[in-house]
Amino acid sequence: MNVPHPDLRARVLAAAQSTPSRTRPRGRRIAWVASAGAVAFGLLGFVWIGGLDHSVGRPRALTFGLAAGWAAASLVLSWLVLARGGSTLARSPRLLVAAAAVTPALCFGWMSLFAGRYDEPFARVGYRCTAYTLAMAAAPLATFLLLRRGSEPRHPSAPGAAAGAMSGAWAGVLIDLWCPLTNAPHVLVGHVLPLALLVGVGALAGSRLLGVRTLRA
Amino acid sequence: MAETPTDERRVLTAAMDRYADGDVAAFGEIYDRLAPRLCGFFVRQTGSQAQAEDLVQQTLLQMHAAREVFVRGSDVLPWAFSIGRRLLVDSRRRTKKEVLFETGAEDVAALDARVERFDLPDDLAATRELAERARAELARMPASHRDAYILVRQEGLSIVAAAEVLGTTSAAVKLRAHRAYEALRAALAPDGGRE
Repeated sequence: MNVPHPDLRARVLAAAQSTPSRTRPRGRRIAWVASAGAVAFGLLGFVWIGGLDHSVGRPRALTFGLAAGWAAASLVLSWLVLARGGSTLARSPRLLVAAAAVTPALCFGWMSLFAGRYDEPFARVGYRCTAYTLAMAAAPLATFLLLRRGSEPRHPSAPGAAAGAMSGAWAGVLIDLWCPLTNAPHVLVGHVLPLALLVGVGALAGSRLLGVRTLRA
Repeated sequence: MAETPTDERRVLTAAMDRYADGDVAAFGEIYDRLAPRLCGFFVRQTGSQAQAEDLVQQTLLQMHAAREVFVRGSDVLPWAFSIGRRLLVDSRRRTKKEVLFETGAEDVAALDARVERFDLPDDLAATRELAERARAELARMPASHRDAYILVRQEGLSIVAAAEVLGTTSAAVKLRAHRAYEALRAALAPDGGRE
C-alpha cells in the first residue's frame, strides 16, 4: 500500500475546512423546499391552463384512469432515479438509459389504449401539450440537476436522461388530466415528443452538471 | 485482532455518515482509512507518487463537496473509487497523452537505490525486470481490463463494489479481471509468454 506524504493530510483537511460544503440534514431541507416548489409550480401551471375543465369532453373515468396509470409509471421511474438502491452512486447506467428510452414508447402505448373509446371533443396537433409539458417539467428537472450537481462520477448523462424522463412523466400526468385527446398523431406530437426532448435535454444537462470535475486550485 | 474488510467498510461508512451529518472531525478518520488505498490505486495507474497524491486530494475534496448526497449506510469505497477513477480519466484527457506508467522511471530509480543499499543486485534486478514486464503488460491491456484487475486483485474491492465503480455488471468485472490476470500471468511466465 502506498502511503501518501504526511503533509498531505493537513493540506486536505485545511482545504476541506476552507471550502464549506452542505451537510446532509441541510441538503435534505433544501431538497424538500425545492421539490415542494417544483411541484407547486407544476400544479399552479395546471390550474392556470384550465385544469380538469379542459378535458370535460372525455368521460371522467377514462381521464382519471389514463392519468392514474401514467402516474404509476412515473412512480416507478421516480423510484429508479431517486432511490439509488442503497448506494450513493446512481443506479446502473444501462438501467437508467433503458428506462429513459422506454418511457416515450410506453407513453405512446398507454395512451393508445384509450384511443377510440370515446368521441374526441375537438382536434388539435398537440403544440400546446408539448409546450405545457416542457414548461411543467422544467422546474423538477432543474431542481434534480442542481441538487445532485457534481455527484455522479460514472456516466452522468444516464441519470440526467432518466431524470428528464421522470420530470416529463409527472408533467405528463397533469397534461393527461388536462388534454382530452388520445389519437395517435396528437399523442406523438403533444405527449411523446416532449418526453423525448426532455430525455435528450436531461442527458445533455446531466453530462454537464451531474458529473464530477477536477476542482480548480 | 486484525480488522476484517467488512469491519473496515462498516467503520468507514459510519465515519462518512457522521461527516455527512456535520461532524467535522470524522473527515480525518475518512482520510486515514481512504487515502492510503486511493494513493495505491493512483500510483499503480499513473506510476507517479506526486500525481497520485494530487488525485487523492482531489478525490477527498470531491467527497467533501458532495457529502450531502451520501446515502446513509451505503458503502463508501465504490463511491470513492468511482470519483477517483473519473478524476484519473479527466487528468489523462487533460494532458492529452497516455501517462500510464510513463513515469515508471521513478520506480526504477528507487530500485536502483535499493540495489546499492542492500547490495543484492541479482535478486533486485530480477524483481525489477518482472515489475517492468508487469507494468508494460498492464499498460498494454484495455483500460477496462486493467481497472477491473487493479480494483479487484490489488485494491481488494469485492466484485460487486468494483462493478459499481465501473458502472457495469459483476459478470463483466469477473471476466475482465480474469482476462487481465491471464494476460499478466502469460507475460510473467519464465519464457515471457512466448511459446
